Amino acid sequence: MSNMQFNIIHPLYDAPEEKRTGDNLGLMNLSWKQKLIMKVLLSHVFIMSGLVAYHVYTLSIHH
Amino acid sequence: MTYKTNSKFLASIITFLMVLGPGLIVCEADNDAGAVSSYIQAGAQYGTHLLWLLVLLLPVTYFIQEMVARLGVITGKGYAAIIYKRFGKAWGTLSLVELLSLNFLTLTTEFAAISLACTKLGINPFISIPLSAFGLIYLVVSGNYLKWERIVITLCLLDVAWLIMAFVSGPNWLHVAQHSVIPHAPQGGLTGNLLFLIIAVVGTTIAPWQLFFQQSCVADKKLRFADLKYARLDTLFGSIFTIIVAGAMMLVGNIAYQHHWAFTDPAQLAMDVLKIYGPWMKNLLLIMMINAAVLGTTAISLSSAWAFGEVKGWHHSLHKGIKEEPKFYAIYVSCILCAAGLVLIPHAPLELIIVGVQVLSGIMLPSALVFLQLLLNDEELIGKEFVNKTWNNVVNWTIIIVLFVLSILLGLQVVLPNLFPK
Repeated sequence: MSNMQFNIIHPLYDAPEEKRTGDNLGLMNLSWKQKLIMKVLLSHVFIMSGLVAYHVYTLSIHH
Repeated sequence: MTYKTNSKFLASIITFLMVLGPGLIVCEADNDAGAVSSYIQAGAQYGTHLLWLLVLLLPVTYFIQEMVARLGVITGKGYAAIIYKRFGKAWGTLSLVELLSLNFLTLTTEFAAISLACTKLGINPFISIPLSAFGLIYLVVSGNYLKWERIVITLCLLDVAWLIMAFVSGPNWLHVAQHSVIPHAPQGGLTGNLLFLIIAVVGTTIAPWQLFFQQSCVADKKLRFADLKYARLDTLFGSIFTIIVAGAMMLVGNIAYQHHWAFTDPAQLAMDVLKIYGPWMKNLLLIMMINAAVLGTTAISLSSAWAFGEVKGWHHSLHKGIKEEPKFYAIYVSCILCAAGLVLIPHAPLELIIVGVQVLSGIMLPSALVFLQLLLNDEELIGKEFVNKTWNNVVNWTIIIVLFVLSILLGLQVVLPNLFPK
């Protein structure tokens, strides 16, 4: 065991390894619950961004 | 670059040092100009009473960034590319537009901080801003990933200076310890201002660009499956270091709280501390503000360039120079030049942009996290051995729900300004 040698190669200089890129896959199958969550969060982003814009606008008036 | 050793321990240390980078950089770059401002403001207005929030944010930061690192190692692709691949063009475009617009606003705040700090150091913004912009461009366009990474890690480690300032400020360490471990509302209870600050602190500690940056960085560094445990360690080290530095920033802000100074911005605080601690403290605080902004700028601009390059199918790697990847570098350079240019416009509403960015970041984070959560449960893509465990999912959904509720509260406060006491 004491003679075991470890070769350490920097990842940038090592041979490339096969990754799970998903290139052979299509779109993910989302359940209706997952789709609903995504749509709710999307609406949330739009509504909240509008509110923040309004808030910043009111702040700018006070400035 | 190959090393040979007979010691397993030494082999592990060397491998860790080789892998170290993406996790540390993403976490520490998150202590950017906006973060400096938020943490110092929290310290100046509430003393050490919000330290517990940072301690709570430590596992949150680690869990989120670990998932991104895992996804990057397994797929070898960036976050934007994987969202396009698995969710389609519509969701992909939407997340990219969200990222790019928020990044642009954030970059503006970074240059605003550089301008502010340099002005207090006696350097004209029309000199400091172009100089920093060209420095940031030069840092990246050389086409040498390792050179960029080493310089940026050095900048990250310079943040130790915040710890020195915190120690010199002489806080009550018993209070620091108590307030770090016992969650409580500061005197005055939950006010609108406190809620806004909490959302800003959360939004600045975990920002959407971090997800895109770390995955792209891991992919660009070509980390292997065997490197995953070291990438996790890198992320853990980065998270702990970042939260400690953030705590130190709060303690620096605590100086204003102890002396009952009105807080306006960190640069003004630097001028105030001059009276007590002398010019070295003032200069160090201003220099560290610049360092934070520089770190944030390079990481955020790269997250935009990587994401755009991935989606457009352009070459997008720091291993190659500007001649080989002109489009990728054009995005990076444009991000920097546009933000720098905006800051130089007289009377640009920079304070409002800073406030808006921090809050928008908190609002957009839940939706960005949902993609991550779904991808880390995508057995078809990453395989059964790498998908989230049940406890991972419980933690992540809890984080998403808490962030969602916080932003709803913020919305209510905007619509009903008298909902919370002033």
